[in-house]
Amino acid sequence: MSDIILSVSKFPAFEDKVNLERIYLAWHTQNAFNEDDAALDILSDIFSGSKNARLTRKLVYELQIVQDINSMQFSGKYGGHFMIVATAKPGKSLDEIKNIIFDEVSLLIDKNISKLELQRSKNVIKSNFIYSLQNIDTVADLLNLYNFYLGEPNSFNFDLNRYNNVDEVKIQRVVEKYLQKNYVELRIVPEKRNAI
Amino acid sequence: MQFDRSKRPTSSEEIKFNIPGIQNFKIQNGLEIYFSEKKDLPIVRINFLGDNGSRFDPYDKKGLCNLLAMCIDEGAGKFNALQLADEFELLGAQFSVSCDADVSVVSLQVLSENFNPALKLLCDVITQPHFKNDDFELQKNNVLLRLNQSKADPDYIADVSFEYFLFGNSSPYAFPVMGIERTVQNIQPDFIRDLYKNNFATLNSAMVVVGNIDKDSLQKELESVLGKWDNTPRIDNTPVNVNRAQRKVFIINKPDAVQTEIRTGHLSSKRSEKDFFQKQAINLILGGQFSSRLNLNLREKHGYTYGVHSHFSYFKEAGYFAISTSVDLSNTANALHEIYLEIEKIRECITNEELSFAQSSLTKKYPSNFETYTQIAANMSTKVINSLPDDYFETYIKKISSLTLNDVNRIANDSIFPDELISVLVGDSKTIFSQLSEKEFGEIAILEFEDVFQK
Repeated sequence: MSDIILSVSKFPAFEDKVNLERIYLAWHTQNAFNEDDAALDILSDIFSGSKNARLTRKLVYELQIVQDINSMQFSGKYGGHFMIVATAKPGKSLDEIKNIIFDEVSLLIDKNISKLELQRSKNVIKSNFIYSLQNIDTVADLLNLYNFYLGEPNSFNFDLNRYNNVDEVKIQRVVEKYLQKNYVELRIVPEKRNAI
Repeated sequence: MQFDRSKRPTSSEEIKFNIPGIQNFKIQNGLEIYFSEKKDLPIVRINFLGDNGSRFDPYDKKGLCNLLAMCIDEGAGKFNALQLADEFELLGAQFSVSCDADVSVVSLQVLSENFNPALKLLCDVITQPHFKNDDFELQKNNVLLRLNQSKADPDYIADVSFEYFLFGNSSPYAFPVMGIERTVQNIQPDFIRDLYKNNFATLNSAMVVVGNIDKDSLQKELESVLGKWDNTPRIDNTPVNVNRAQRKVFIINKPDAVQTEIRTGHLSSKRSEKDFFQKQAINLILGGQFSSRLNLNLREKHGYTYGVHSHFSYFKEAGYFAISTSVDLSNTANALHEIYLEIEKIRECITNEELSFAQSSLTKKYPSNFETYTQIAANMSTKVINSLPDDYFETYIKKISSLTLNDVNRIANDSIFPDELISVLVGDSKTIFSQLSEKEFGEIAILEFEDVFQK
């Protein structure tokens, strides 16, 4: 159980050798296999796991202001964080993109996701899990991962079941619990070229 | 479950490796199906192969085939773009379309329990794509943006410039699969629709299936969803001319690059039974493994680079040999000198020890290429695309094991050409140019990336 919090939100910004602007948003969440961890994984799929995902559909297809968008629950032994990353199309504003992302977050608090959205996420997660078992390295990695975090290498079914047990209310709860706290917002933009 | 570490596990005997069996059959419209049953997981993988790639793109529309691949799944059958994506997702199916210089691939991976509905969707994409104008515009913009982003990437600049200078402006293999900004701008939705009509057809295609399904069920499903599909292709088989070259170096100016990207190589023969296996061994020895001659020289001995590797690349109608690495700027000429030296030396004498090492590595690693559904499907696809002999997989290990030193040394001389080396160096051109000598490396040209693909 991780209880790290940020006392204030932080806003680092840098220029670099890139052609497009990008924004990274990150919130502290939970350790691997904590009771909220699976719900946060599903949340990232809801946000950006498919063309119809909340953020992808809005920013990439409807408004067309974003080149790509990704989200992920990173979880480890002592804590975790949830991240949303968006690359802006040329001339599009990171401020506008940020506002829309936060709007979509609020929407998830106001109204639960649909049963269909949840079912789709679960189907994708289950299928990807089985696909990954094709590789003996992945099986070895998983045995090691389960042993490290859970003390029991044979935890394949446990792992899959914790996703099956997530419902729509749980998703709303983790959004409320983690994505309304202080966060880190990193911006990387193209270097300003000096006029000759 | 605790493991008893006091007793060392007994080693097994040598594990016998069996190549997965492949069956083939045709469905009623003549489409050829290649099938391998694989039962260890409840998965089915399909690669639908189309005989069309970027090499058929008209000169002023480079990137056409790639855009077709990007648009074909933006709405098909009774579903628009977003609905179709949703339908695949609901089935937990992984679906993608891609193309390279020679082939388009529509691929699907799905759990056996969802095979039938997923196959139906795949066939909708192949037979009833929508190609709506606004979906096209979105994809076209995506490509233009990606091309713009790529300009900042020295790796990308090196790769595409190298192939361009290697093949020459008029060659169908010279331009990137994605195209270039100037040509992609020319592409309109009707060109995509025409390309689809003329190129996606049964006679031009084949299907590879690897999965936990029995042949009869598979055949029945395929007949039902694809059996009546009929489309007559316009097959265009212009031969590709390949010219011999002389040594030349192209420096592409990128002042903010932290290292110099190096690509060096020359044109080579098409894939052929006569020298393919020898070239595999030669490549491994020269630059295809950590302990290769190139890596031991440039990385271990001189510390010029984190890693250098070489490969023989095979297109359907051409081939080339290339070495690729990134080195620190101040050692650009030194690194290039060592690379050219190793290319000369490999023609002098490959040793018995080197050959045995390569044979051991290639044969012992071979079974690991048949682990996953994806790999087996990819191998079968390579076999189909290159019309390899029926027993290609079964005889690979024997062919490598029976290579002789004389043969390998002979082929090294017949396939590596130091006098024809084309090099592309991406980095700060002033610094790089000051290090190089034309006497050693041949004619040197300096240019900006935007000037590479001339009209």
